[in-house]
Amino acid sequence: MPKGSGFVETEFGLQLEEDEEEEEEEVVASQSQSQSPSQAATQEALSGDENDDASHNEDKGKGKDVEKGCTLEAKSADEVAAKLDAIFHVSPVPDKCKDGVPCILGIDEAGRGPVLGPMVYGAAYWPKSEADSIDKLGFNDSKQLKETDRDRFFGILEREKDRIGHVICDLSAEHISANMLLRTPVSLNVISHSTAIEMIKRVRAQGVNVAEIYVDAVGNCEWYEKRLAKIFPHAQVTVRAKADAIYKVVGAASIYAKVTRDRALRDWVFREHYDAQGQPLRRKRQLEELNCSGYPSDERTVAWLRKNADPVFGFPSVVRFSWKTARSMLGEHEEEMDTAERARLEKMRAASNMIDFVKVDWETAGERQGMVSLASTFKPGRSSLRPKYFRDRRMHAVSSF
Amino acid sequence: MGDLAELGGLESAQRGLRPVQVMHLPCKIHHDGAADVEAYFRPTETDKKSGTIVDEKGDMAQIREATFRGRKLLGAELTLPEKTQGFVLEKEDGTAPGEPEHWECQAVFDRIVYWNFDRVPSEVDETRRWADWLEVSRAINLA
Repeated sequence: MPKGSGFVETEFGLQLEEDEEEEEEEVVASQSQSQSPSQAATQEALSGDENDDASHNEDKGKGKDVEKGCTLEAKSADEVAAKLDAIFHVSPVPDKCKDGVPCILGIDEAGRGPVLGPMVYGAAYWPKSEADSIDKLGFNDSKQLKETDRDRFFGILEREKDRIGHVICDLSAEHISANMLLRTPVSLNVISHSTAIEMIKRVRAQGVNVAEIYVDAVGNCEWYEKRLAKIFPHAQVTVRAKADAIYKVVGAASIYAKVTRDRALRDWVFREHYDAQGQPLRRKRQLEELNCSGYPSDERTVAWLRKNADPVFGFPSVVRFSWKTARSMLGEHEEEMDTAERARLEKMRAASNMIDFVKVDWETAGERQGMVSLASTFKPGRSSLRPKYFRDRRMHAVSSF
Repeated sequence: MGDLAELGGLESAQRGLRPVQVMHLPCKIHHDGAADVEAYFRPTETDKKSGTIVDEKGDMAQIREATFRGRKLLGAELTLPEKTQGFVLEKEDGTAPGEPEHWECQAVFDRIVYWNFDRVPSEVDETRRWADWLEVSRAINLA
Protein backbone atom coordinates (compact mmCIF):
# COMPACT_ATOMS: atom_id res chain seq x y z
CA MET A 1 0.00 0.00 0.00
CA PRO A 2 1.43 3.41 -0.77
CA LYS A 3 3.23 4.85 2.16
CA GLY A 4 1.45 7.55 4.05
CA SER A 5 -1.90 6.71 2.58
CA GLY A 6 -3.00 6.09 6.11
CA PHE A 7 -3.67 2.38 6.07
CA VAL A 8 -3.18 0.39 9.21
CA GLU A 9 -3.19 -3.34 9.58
CA THR A 10 -5.84 -4.57 11.96
CA GLU A 11 -7.47 -7.87 12.65
CA PHE A 12 -10.08 -7.01 10.04
CA GLY A 13 -7.51 -6.35 7.39
CA LEU A 14 -6.33 -2.96 6.27
CA GLN A 15 -8.23 0.02 7.57
CA LEU A 16 -7.86 3.68 6.95
CA GLU A 17 -6.36 5.48 9.85
CA GLU A 18 -6.99 9.01 11.09
CA ASP A 19 -4.05 10.91 9.77
CA GLU A 20 -4.39 14.05 11.85
CA GLU A 21 -3.54 12.58 15.21
CA GLU A 22 -0.89 10.04 14.40
CA GLU A 23 2.46 10.46 12.75
CA GLU A 24 2.51 9.04 9.30
CA GLU A 25 3.62 5.49 9.60
CA GLU A 26 5.01 3.42 6.88
CA VAL A 27 2.78 0.51 6.08
CA VAL A 28 3.62 -2.40 3.88
CA ALA A 29 1.36 -3.40 1.02
CA SER A 30 -1.23 -5.95 1.95
CA GLN A 31 -0.92 -9.45 0.57
CA SER A 32 -0.74 -9.40 -3.13
CA GLN A 33 -1.10 -12.84 -4.58
CA SER A 34 2.52 -13.24 -5.58
CA GLN A 35 4.63 -12.72 -2.49
CA SER A 36 8.36 -12.50 -2.79
CA PRO A 37 9.98 -15.42 -0.99
CA SER A 38 12.56 -13.41 0.82
CA GLN A 39 10.21 -11.91 3.36
CA ALA A 40 11.68 -14.04 6.12
CA ALA A 41 15.12 -12.77 5.25
CA THR A 42 14.14 -9.13 5.30
CA GLN A 43 14.17 -8.72 9.05
CA GLU A 44 17.85 -9.57 9.03
CA ALA A 45 18.51 -7.45 6.02
CA LEU A 46 17.00 -4.27 7.38
CA SER A 47 19.59 -1.82 8.52
CA GLY A 48 19.27 -0.50 12.03
CA ASP A 49 18.33 3.12 12.50
CA GLU A 50 17.65 5.21 15.56
CA ASN A 51 14.33 6.37 14.12
CA ASP A 52 13.00 2.84 14.13
CA ASP A 53 10.76 1.87 16.96
CA ALA A 54 9.48 -1.57 17.52
CA SER A 55 6.62 -1.86 15.14
CA HIS A 56 3.47 -3.58 16.22
CA ASN A 57 3.24 -5.12 12.86
CA GLU A 58 5.84 -7.71 11.94
CA ASP A 59 5.42 -7.12 8.26
CA LYS A 60 6.10 -3.40 8.36
CA GLY A 61 9.11 -1.99 6.65
CA LYS A 62 11.27 -0.02 8.97
CA GLY A 63 12.25 3.58 8.46
CA LYS A 64 11.29 5.88 5.70
CA ASP A 65 13.11 7.78 3.00
CA VAL A 66 14.85 10.59 4.77
CA GLU A 67 14.66 12.67 1.66
CA LYS A 68 14.35 11.72 -1.94
CA GLY A 69 17.76 11.49 -3.52
CA CYS A 70 19.59 11.42 -0.19
CA THR A 71 20.80 8.35 1.62
CA LEU A 72 18.04 5.82 1.49
CA GLU A 73 17.16 3.50 4.28
CA ALA A 74 16.37 -0.13 3.71
CA LYS A 75 12.88 -1.27 2.88
CA SER A 76 11.23 -4.62 3.29
CA ALA A 77 11.35 -7.01 0.38
CA ASP A 78 7.60 -6.66 0.06
CA GLU A 79 7.77 -2.91 -0.47
CA VAL A 80 10.24 -3.26 -3.31
CA ALA A 81 8.59 -6.24 -4.98
CA ALA A 82 6.87 -6.08 -8.33
CA LYS A 83 3.15 -5.32 -8.12
CA LEU A 84 1.68 -7.31 -10.94
CA ASP A 85 -1.61 -8.16 -9.29
CA ALA A 86 -4.52 -5.87 -8.46
CA ILE A 87 -4.53 -5.02 -4.77
CA PHE A 88 -7.88 -4.78 -3.01
CA HIS A 89 -8.50 -3.06 0.30
CA VAL A 90 -11.96 -3.77 1.68
CA SER A 91 -13.19 -1.94 4.74
CA PRO A 92 -15.02 -3.83 7.46
CA VAL A 93 -18.79 -3.58 7.15
CA PRO A 94 -20.06 -0.47 8.96
CA ASP A 95 -22.49 -1.28 11.76
CA LYS A 96 -25.35 0.52 10.08
CA CYS A 97 -24.86 -1.50 6.90
CA LYS A 98 -25.29 -4.84 8.60
CA ASP A 99 -28.35 -7.07 8.90
CA GLY A 100 -29.29 -6.81 5.26
CA VAL A 101 -30.08 -3.11 5.35
CA PRO A 102 -30.42 -1.95 1.72
CA CYS A 103 -27.35 0.03 0.73
CA ILE A 104 -26.40 2.17 -2.21
CA LEU A 105 -22.94 1.81 -3.70
CA GLY A 106 -20.97 4.06 -6.04
CA ILE A 107 -17.83 3.40 -8.07
CA ASP A 108 -15.40 5.80 -9.63
CA GLU A 109 -11.81 5.74 -10.77
CA ALA A 110 -8.79 7.99 -10.71
CA GLY A 111 -5.73 8.04 -12.89
CA ARG A 112 -7.10 6.51 -16.05
CA GLY A 113 -5.36 8.83 -18.50
CA PRO A 114 -1.87 9.35 -17.09
CA VAL A 115 1.15 7.42 -18.27
CA LEU A 116 2.59 7.35 -14.77
CA GLY A 117 1.46 5.59 -11.66
CA PRO A 118 -1.49 3.41 -10.73
CA MET A 119 -5.10 3.60 -11.77
CA VAL A 120 -7.12 3.46 -8.59
CA TYR A 121 -10.72 2.35 -8.30
CA GLY A 122 -12.81 3.46 -5.36
CA ALA A 123 -16.19 2.24 -4.15
CA ALA A 124 -18.24 3.77 -1.38
CA TYR A 125 -21.49 2.56 0.09
CA TRP A 126 -23.95 3.49 2.79
CA PRO A 127 -27.47 2.61 3.85
CA LYS A 128 -30.14 4.04 1.60
CA SER A 129 -31.82 5.43 4.71
CA GLU A 130 -28.75 7.51 5.54
CA ALA A 131 -28.50 9.03 2.09
CA ASP A 132 -30.11 12.39 2.90
CA SER A 133 -28.08 12.93 6.02
CA ILE A 134 -24.84 12.03 4.25
CA ASP A 135 -25.72 14.32 1.34
CA LYS A 136 -25.49 17.20 3.79
CA LEU A 137 -21.80 16.42 4.33
CA GLY A 138 -21.34 18.08 0.97
CA PHE A 139 -19.37 15.80 -1.34
CA ASN A 140 -18.88 16.99 -4.80
CA ASP A 141 -17.15 15.33 -7.65
CA SER A 142 -13.50 15.11 -6.68
CA LYS A 143 -12.23 16.61 -9.93
CA GLN A 144 -13.71 19.96 -8.96
CA LEU A 145 -12.13 19.92 -5.54
CA LYS A 146 -8.72 21.17 -4.68
CA GLU A 147 -6.36 18.65 -3.16
CA THR A 148 -6.78 20.11 0.34
CA ASP A 149 -10.56 19.85 0.04
CA ARG A 150 -10.30 16.28 -1.12
CA ASP A 151 -8.11 15.39 1.83
CA ARG A 152 -10.63 16.99 4.13
CA PHE A 153 -13.49 14.99 2.65
CA PHE A 154 -11.38 11.88 2.90
CA GLY A 155 -11.09 12.56 6.62
CA ILE A 156 -14.84 13.11 6.89
CA LEU A 157 -15.55 9.84 5.13
CA GLU A 158 -13.23 8.14 7.54
CA ARG A 159 -15.03 9.51 10.56
CA GLU A 160 -18.27 8.04 9.29
CA LYS A 161 -16.97 4.50 9.74
CA ASP A 162 -20.19 3.43 11.39
CA ARG A 163 -22.21 4.01 8.25
CA ILE A 164 -19.86 4.44 5.26
CA GLY A 165 -17.98 1.46 3.88
CA HIS A 166 -15.53 1.35 0.99
CA VAL A 167 -13.32 -0.70 -1.26
CA ILE A 168 -10.16 0.56 -2.92
CA CYS A 169 -8.43 -1.24 -5.75
CA ASP A 170 -4.90 -0.33 -6.72
CA LEU A 171 -4.02 -1.26 -10.28
CA SER A 172 -0.35 -0.53 -10.65
CA ALA A 173 1.26 0.72 -13.83
CA GLU A 174 2.86 -2.73 -14.06
CA HIS A 175 -0.51 -4.44 -13.85
CA ILE A 176 -1.90 -2.19 -16.57
CA SER A 177 1.12 -2.59 -18.83
CA ALA A 178 1.22 -6.35 -18.42
CA ASN A 179 -2.45 -6.79 -19.26
CA MET A 180 -2.54 -4.40 -22.18
CA LEU A 181 0.58 -5.98 -23.68
CA LEU A 182 -0.47 -9.62 -23.47
CA ARG A 183 -0.52 -11.71 -26.63
CA THR A 184 -4.26 -11.23 -26.54
CA PRO A 185 -4.37 -7.71 -25.14
CA VAL A 186 -6.78 -6.88 -22.35
CA SER A 187 -8.04 -3.36 -22.94
CA LEU A 188 -8.20 -0.70 -20.29
CA ASN A 189 -12.00 -0.84 -20.47
CA VAL A 190 -12.04 -4.53 -19.73
CA ILE A 191 -9.63 -4.01 -16.85
CA SER A 192 -11.96 -1.29 -15.54
CA HIS A 193 -15.10 -3.34 -15.84
CA SER A 194 -13.57 -6.43 -14.26
CA THR A 195 -12.30 -4.36 -11.36
CA ALA A 196 -15.66 -2.74 -10.72
CA ILE A 197 -17.38 -6.11 -10.81
CA GLU A 198 -14.86 -7.61 -8.42
CA MET A 199 -15.25 -4.73 -5.99
CA ILE A 200 -19.02 -5.14 -5.86
CA LYS A 201 -18.64 -8.88 -5.37
CA ARG A 202 -16.33 -8.37 -2.42
CA VAL A 203 -18.79 -6.06 -0.69
CA ARG A 204 -21.61 -8.53 -1.27
CA ALA A 205 -19.39 -11.35 -0.01
CA GLN A 206 -19.29 -9.55 3.33
CA GLY A 207 -23.06 -9.87 3.50
CA VAL A 208 -23.93 -6.32 2.53
CA ASN A 209 -27.23 -5.88 0.73
CA VAL A 210 -26.17 -3.85 -2.30
CA ALA A 211 -29.52 -2.61 -3.55
CA GLU A 212 -28.41 0.18 -5.87
CA ILE A 213 -25.20 0.55 -7.87
CA TYR A 214 -24.02 3.78 -9.46
CA VAL A 215 -21.02 3.81 -11.71
CA ASP A 216 -19.21 6.61 -13.44
CA ALA A 217 -18.36 5.56 -16.93
CA VAL A 218 -16.72 6.60 -20.12
CA GLY A 219 -17.69 5.08 -23.40
CA ASN A 220 -20.67 2.88 -23.88
CA CYS A 221 -22.81 3.35 -20.77
CA GLU A 222 -25.72 1.29 -22.00
CA TRP A 223 -23.74 -1.87 -22.66
CA TYR A 224 -21.90 -1.61 -19.36
CA GLU A 225 -25.14 -1.02 -17.47
CA LYS A 226 -26.77 -4.06 -19.04
CA ARG A 227 -23.77 -6.22 -18.23
CA LEU A 228 -23.67 -5.14 -14.60
CA ALA A 229 -27.43 -5.62 -14.27
CA LYS A 230 -27.03 -9.14 -15.53
CA ILE A 231 -24.27 -9.99 -13.07
CA PHE A 232 -26.08 -8.32 -10.16
CA PRO A 233 -29.73 -9.01 -10.89
CA HIS A 234 -30.99 -7.96 -7.47
CA ALA A 235 -29.53 -4.47 -7.70
CA GLN A 236 -30.68 -1.43 -9.56
CA VAL A 237 -27.77 -0.44 -11.78
CA THR A 238 -27.11 3.04 -13.13
CA VAL A 239 -24.14 3.82 -15.34
CA ARG A 240 -23.74 7.47 -16.32
CA ALA A 241 -21.04 9.71 -17.57
CA LYS A 242 -20.16 12.29 -14.92
CA ALA A 243 -21.99 10.17 -12.35
CA ASP A 244 -19.60 11.51 -9.75
CA ALA A 245 -21.25 14.91 -10.07
CA ILE A 246 -24.76 13.49 -9.93
CA TYR A 247 -24.67 10.78 -7.27
CA LYS A 248 -23.07 11.36 -3.91
CA VAL A 249 -21.99 7.73 -3.51
CA VAL A 250 -20.00 8.09 -6.69
CA GLY A 251 -18.62 11.41 -5.48
CA ALA A 252 -17.47 9.71 -2.29
CA ALA A 253 -15.97 6.84 -4.29
CA SER A 254 -14.07 9.30 -6.44
CA ILE A 255 -12.58 10.88 -3.34
CA TYR A 256 -11.31 7.52 -2.14
CA ALA A 257 -9.84 6.87 -5.58
CA LYS A 258 -8.31 10.27 -6.13
CA VAL A 259 -6.80 10.68 -2.67
CA THR A 260 -5.32 7.19 -2.79
CA ARG A 261 -3.71 7.85 -6.14
CA ASP A 262 -2.45 11.29 -5.13
CA ARG A 263 -0.80 9.88 -2.04
CA ALA A 264 0.66 6.96 -3.95
CA LEU A 265 2.39 9.36 -6.34
CA ARG A 266 3.40 11.83 -3.70
CA ASP A 267 5.03 9.10 -1.62
CA TRP A 268 6.23 7.02 -4.50
CA VAL A 269 9.11 4.72 -3.67
CA PHE A 270 11.10 3.66 -6.68
CA ARG A 271 11.78 -0.02 -6.26
CA GLU A 272 14.57 0.55 -8.77
CA HIS A 273 16.53 2.20 -5.98
CA TYR A 274 16.65 -1.06 -4.04
CA ASP A 275 17.67 -4.62 -4.63
CA ALA A 276 15.18 -7.45 -4.29
CA GLN A 277 15.80 -7.69 -0.56
CA GLY A 278 15.18 -4.01 0.03
CA GLN A 279 18.77 -2.89 0.37
CA PRO A 280 19.48 0.48 -1.23
CA LEU A 281 21.53 0.18 -4.39
CA ARG A 282 24.50 2.42 -4.97
CA ARG A 283 23.61 4.22 -8.16
CA LYS A 284 25.22 7.06 -10.01
CA ARG A 285 21.94 8.77 -10.76
CA GLN A 286 18.73 8.38 -8.78
CA LEU A 287 15.35 8.54 -10.43
CA GLU A 288 13.73 11.94 -10.06
CA GLU A 289 10.67 12.77 -8.04
CA LEU A 290 7.36 12.60 -9.88
CA ASN A 291 6.84 16.33 -10.02
CA CYS A 292 4.58 16.33 -13.04
CA SER A 293 0.92 15.61 -13.72
CA GLY A 294 1.66 12.26 -15.31
CA TYR A 295 -0.52 13.08 -18.31
CA PRO A 296 1.16 12.45 -21.67
CA SER A 297 -0.01 15.83 -22.94
CA ASP A 298 1.96 17.53 -20.18
CA GLU A 299 5.41 18.60 -21.37
CA ARG A 300 6.83 18.04 -17.93
CA THR A 301 5.68 14.43 -18.01
CA VAL A 302 7.41 13.81 -21.32
CA ALA A 303 10.50 15.53 -19.98
CA TRP A 304 10.41 13.28 -16.93
CA LEU A 305 10.16 10.20 -19.13
CA ARG A 306 13.14 11.31 -21.19
CA LYS A 307 15.29 12.06 -18.19
CA ASN A 308 14.43 8.91 -16.27
CA ALA A 309 14.75 6.35 -19.00
CA ASP A 310 17.10 3.39 -19.10
CA PRO A 311 18.61 2.23 -22.39
CA VAL A 312 17.97 -1.47 -21.79
CA PHE A 313 14.93 -1.56 -19.53
CA GLY A 314 13.16 1.44 -21.00
CA PHE A 315 11.53 3.02 -18.00
CA PRO A 316 11.04 2.36 -14.31
CA SER A 317 7.98 0.41 -13.20
CA VAL A 318 5.94 3.55 -12.50
CA VAL A 319 5.51 3.98 -16.25
CA ARG A 320 2.70 2.41 -18.26
CA PHE A 321 4.59 0.78 -21.12
CA SER A 322 1.35 0.16 -22.98
CA TRP A 323 0.76 3.88 -23.46
CA LYS A 324 1.48 5.23 -26.92
CA THR A 325 3.82 7.82 -25.40
CA ALA A 326 6.04 5.19 -23.90
CA ARG A 327 5.85 2.86 -26.89
CA SER A 328 6.80 5.60 -29.37
CA MET A 329 9.78 6.59 -27.32
CA LEU A 330 10.90 2.97 -27.22
CA GLY A 331 10.47 2.66 -30.96
CA GLU A 332 7.72 0.11 -30.67
CA HIS A 333 4.67 0.07 -32.91
CA GLU A 334 6.30 2.41 -35.41
CA GLU A 335 4.74 0.41 -38.22
CA GLU A 336 1.31 1.35 -36.89
CA MET A 337 2.02 5.06 -36.99
CA ASP A 338 0.91 7.27 -39.82
CA THR A 339 3.30 9.74 -41.44
CA ALA A 340 2.20 12.64 -39.23
CA GLU A 341 2.86 10.69 -36.02
CA ARG A 342 6.17 9.46 -37.31
CA ALA A 343 7.19 13.01 -38.17
CA ARG A 344 6.25 14.16 -34.66
CA LEU A 345 8.30 11.34 -33.18
CA GLU A 346 11.33 12.21 -35.29
CA LYS A 347 11.02 15.83 -34.29
CA MET A 348 10.90 14.90 -30.62
CA ARG A 349 13.93 12.65 -30.98
CA ALA A 350 15.92 15.31 -32.78
CA ALA A 351 14.93 18.14 -30.45
CA SER A 352 15.57 16.46 -27.17
CA ASN A 353 18.68 14.69 -26.11
CA MET A 354 16.71 11.53 -25.71
CA ILE A 355 18.80 8.55 -24.86
CA ASP A 356 19.28 5.84 -27.39
CA PHE A 357 17.14 2.98 -26.33
CA VAL A 358 18.49 -0.46 -27.02
CA LYS A 359 16.44 -2.15 -29.70
CA VAL A 360 14.39 -5.09 -28.49
CA ASP A 361 12.65 -7.52 -30.85
CA TRP A 362 9.80 -9.51 -29.42
CA GLU A 363 8.92 -12.80 -30.96
CA THR A 364 5.46 -12.71 -32.27
CA ALA A 365 5.65 -15.84 -34.36
CA GLY A 366 2.72 -18.13 -33.98
CA GLU A 367 2.80 -21.47 -32.28
CA ARG A 368 5.20 -23.86 -33.85
CA GLN A 369 3.46 -26.94 -35.10
CA GLY A 370 4.18 -30.02 -33.07
CA MET A 371 7.44 -31.80 -32.55
CA VAL A 372 9.43 -33.38 -35.31
CA SER A 373 10.79 -36.86 -34.75
CA LEU A 374 14.49 -37.45 -34.99
CA ALA A 375 13.91 -40.12 -37.60
CA SER A 376 12.74 -37.51 -40.06
CA THR A 377 16.31 -36.23 -40.10
CA PHE A 378 17.41 -39.34 -41.94
CA LYS A 379 14.76 -39.27 -44.61
CA PRO A 380 16.27 -39.14 -48.08
CA GLY A 381 15.95 -36.08 -50.22
CA ARG A 382 16.16 -33.54 -47.40
CA SER A 383 16.75 -29.95 -48.34
CA SER A 384 20.05 -28.26 -47.65
CA LEU A 385 18.47 -26.50 -44.71
CA ARG A 386 19.54 -27.72 -41.34
CA PRO A 387 17.13 -30.51 -40.35
CA LYS A 388 13.93 -29.29 -38.78
CA TYR A 389 14.66 -31.29 -35.63
CA PHE A 390 17.56 -28.97 -34.89
CA ARG A 391 15.90 -25.83 -36.15
CA ASP A 392 12.96 -26.46 -33.85
CA ARG A 393 15.33 -26.63 -30.96
CA ARG A 394 17.22 -23.54 -32.04
CA MET A 395 20.40 -25.54 -32.36
CA HIS A 396 23.21 -24.43 -34.60
CA ALA A 397 26.45 -26.12 -35.51
CA VAL A 398 29.37 -24.41 -33.90
CA SER A 399 32.97 -25.05 -34.78
CA SER A 400 34.21 -21.81 -33.38
CA PHE A 401 32.68 -18.89 -31.57
CA MET B 1 40.01 -19.72 -35.33
CA GLY B 2 39.49 -21.07 -31.88
CA ASP B 3 39.49 -24.75 -31.31
CA LEU B 4 36.91 -26.30 -29.13
CA ALA B 5 39.47 -28.76 -27.80
CA GLU B 6 41.13 -25.93 -25.95
CA LEU B 7 38.05 -25.69 -23.82
CA GLY B 8 39.26 -28.85 -22.13
CA GLY B 9 41.43 -26.63 -19.99
CA LEU B 10 38.31 -25.16 -18.51
CA GLU B 11 38.02 -27.72 -15.77
CA SER B 12 41.03 -26.36 -14.01
CA ALA B 13 39.88 -22.84 -14.62
CA GLN B 14 36.60 -23.78 -12.98
CA ARG B 15 38.06 -23.72 -9.52
CA GLY B 16 37.56 -20.28 -8.15
CA LEU B 17 34.87 -19.36 -10.63
CA ARG B 18 31.82 -17.71 -9.27
CA PRO B 19 28.40 -19.15 -9.93
CA VAL B 20 26.15 -16.73 -11.73
CA GLN B 21 22.47 -16.65 -12.54
CA VAL B 22 21.84 -16.91 -16.23
CA MET B 23 18.51 -15.83 -17.65
CA HIS B 24 17.10 -16.33 -21.09
CA LEU B 25 14.55 -13.78 -22.26
CA PRO B 26 11.97 -14.24 -25.02
CA CYS B 27 13.19 -11.31 -27.05
CA LYS B 28 16.26 -10.21 -28.92
CA ILE B 29 18.03 -7.47 -27.05
CA HIS B 30 20.43 -5.63 -29.32
CA HIS B 31 22.93 -4.93 -26.62
CA ASP B 32 26.12 -6.54 -25.47
CA GLY B 33 27.36 -5.37 -22.11
CA ALA B 34 26.32 -4.22 -18.68
CA ALA B 35 22.72 -3.49 -17.74
CA ASP B 36 20.99 -2.40 -14.55
CA VAL B 37 19.45 -5.80 -13.92
CA GLU B 38 19.40 -5.70 -10.14
CA ALA B 39 17.46 -2.46 -10.11
CA TYR B 40 14.98 -3.09 -12.90
CA PHE B 41 14.42 -6.82 -13.20
CA ARG B 42 12.38 -8.03 -10.27
CA PRO B 43 11.15 -11.63 -10.55
CA THR B 44 8.53 -12.91 -8.16
CA GLU B 45 7.89 -16.48 -7.12
CA THR B 46 4.28 -17.46 -7.55
CA ASP B 47 2.16 -20.29 -6.21
CA LYS B 48 1.48 -21.46 -9.72
CA LYS B 49 3.16 -24.61 -10.83
CA SER B 50 4.00 -25.87 -14.25
CA GLY B 51 1.78 -28.60 -15.56
CA THR B 52 4.60 -30.44 -17.26
CA ILE B 53 7.98 -29.42 -15.90
CA VAL B 54 9.29 -31.53 -13.04
CA ASP B 55 12.05 -29.97 -10.99
CA GLU B 56 15.09 -31.59 -9.43
CA LYS B 57 13.20 -32.62 -6.33
CA GLY B 58 10.53 -34.31 -8.37
CA ASP B 59 7.87 -31.66 -7.76
CA MET B 60 6.08 -29.67 -10.41
CA ALA B 61 8.29 -26.67 -11.06
CA GLN B 62 7.30 -23.34 -9.64
CA ILE B 63 6.49 -20.56 -12.05
CA ARG B 64 8.01 -17.13 -11.63
CA GLU B 65 6.72 -13.81 -12.90
CA ALA B 66 8.61 -10.77 -14.07
CA THR B 67 8.19 -7.90 -16.47
CA PHE B 68 10.49 -6.56 -19.13
CA ARG B 69 9.57 -3.34 -20.91
CA GLY B 70 6.12 -3.75 -19.46
CA ARG B 71 5.52 -7.22 -20.79
CA LYS B 72 4.65 -10.06 -18.49
CA LEU B 73 7.12 -12.89 -18.47
CA LEU B 74 6.57 -16.33 -16.98
CA GLY B 75 9.67 -18.21 -16.06
CA ALA B 76 10.91 -21.58 -15.00
CA GLU B 77 14.22 -23.07 -14.15
CA LEU B 78 16.00 -25.38 -16.52
CA THR B 79 18.64 -27.50 -14.87
CA LEU B 80 21.39 -28.46 -17.24
CA PRO B 81 21.45 -32.16 -18.12
CA GLU B 82 23.68 -34.55 -16.24
CA LYS B 83 27.41 -34.24 -16.87
CA THR B 84 26.85 -30.82 -18.40
CA GLN B 85 28.24 -27.57 -17.17
CA GLY B 86 27.57 -24.04 -18.32
CA PHE B 87 30.33 -21.48 -18.72
CA VAL B 88 30.19 -17.79 -19.38
CA LEU B 89 33.09 -17.02 -21.69
CA GLU B 90 34.47 -13.69 -22.65
CA LYS B 91 36.76 -13.18 -25.56
CA GLU B 92 39.97 -11.31 -25.00
CA ASP B 93 40.58 -8.46 -27.39
CA GLY B 94 43.66 -7.86 -29.41
CA THR B 95 44.32 -11.20 -31.00
CA ALA B 96 46.40 -10.99 -34.13
CA PRO B 97 44.84 -12.67 -37.18
CA GLY B 98 45.92 -16.27 -37.51
CA GLU B 99 46.57 -16.54 -33.80
CA PRO B 100 44.29 -18.66 -31.64
CA GLU B 101 41.63 -16.67 -29.81
CA HIS B 102 41.82 -16.43 -26.08
CA TRP B 103 38.62 -16.92 -24.14
CA GLU B 104 38.41 -16.16 -20.45
CA CYS B 105 36.01 -18.05 -18.29
CA GLN B 106 34.02 -15.52 -16.29
CA ALA B 107 31.53 -17.66 -14.47
CA VAL B 108 29.88 -21.05 -14.25
CA PHE B 109 26.29 -22.14 -14.06
CA ASP B 110 24.40 -25.38 -13.88
CA ARG B 111 20.93 -24.03 -14.49
CA ILE B 112 19.21 -21.40 -16.59
CA VAL B 113 16.09 -19.48 -15.72
CA TYR B 114 14.23 -18.95 -18.95
CA TRP B 115 11.27 -16.73 -19.52
CA ASN B 116 8.32 -17.00 -21.88
CA PHE B 117 6.28 -14.07 -23.00
CA ASP B 118 2.74 -14.61 -21.76
CA ARG B 119 2.98 -18.35 -22.03
CA VAL B 120 3.19 -20.77 -19.14
CA PRO B 121 6.55 -22.55 -19.18
CA SER B 122 6.20 -26.14 -20.28
CA GLU B 123 8.33 -29.15 -20.97
CA VAL B 124 7.95 -28.65 -24.72
CA ASP B 125 9.26 -25.09 -24.78
CA GLU B 126 11.86 -24.69 -27.51
CA THR B 127 14.16 -23.20 -24.96
CA ARG B 128 14.33 -26.53 -23.15
CA ARG B 129 14.27 -28.98 -25.98
CA TRP B 130 17.91 -28.86 -26.97
CA ALA B 131 18.49 -30.77 -23.78
CA ASP B 132 16.78 -33.82 -25.35
CA TRP B 133 19.37 -33.81 -28.07
CA LEU B 134 22.24 -34.09 -25.65
CA GLU B 135 20.84 -37.33 -24.33
CA VAL B 136 20.18 -38.69 -27.79
CA SER B 137 23.59 -37.62 -28.97
CA ARG B 138 25.28 -39.41 -26.11
CA ALA B 139 23.33 -42.56 -26.79
CA ILE B 140 24.16 -42.47 -30.48
CA ASN B 141 27.79 -41.55 -30.16
CA LEU B 142 28.80 -43.66 -27.24
CA ALA B 143 27.00 -46.78 -28.35
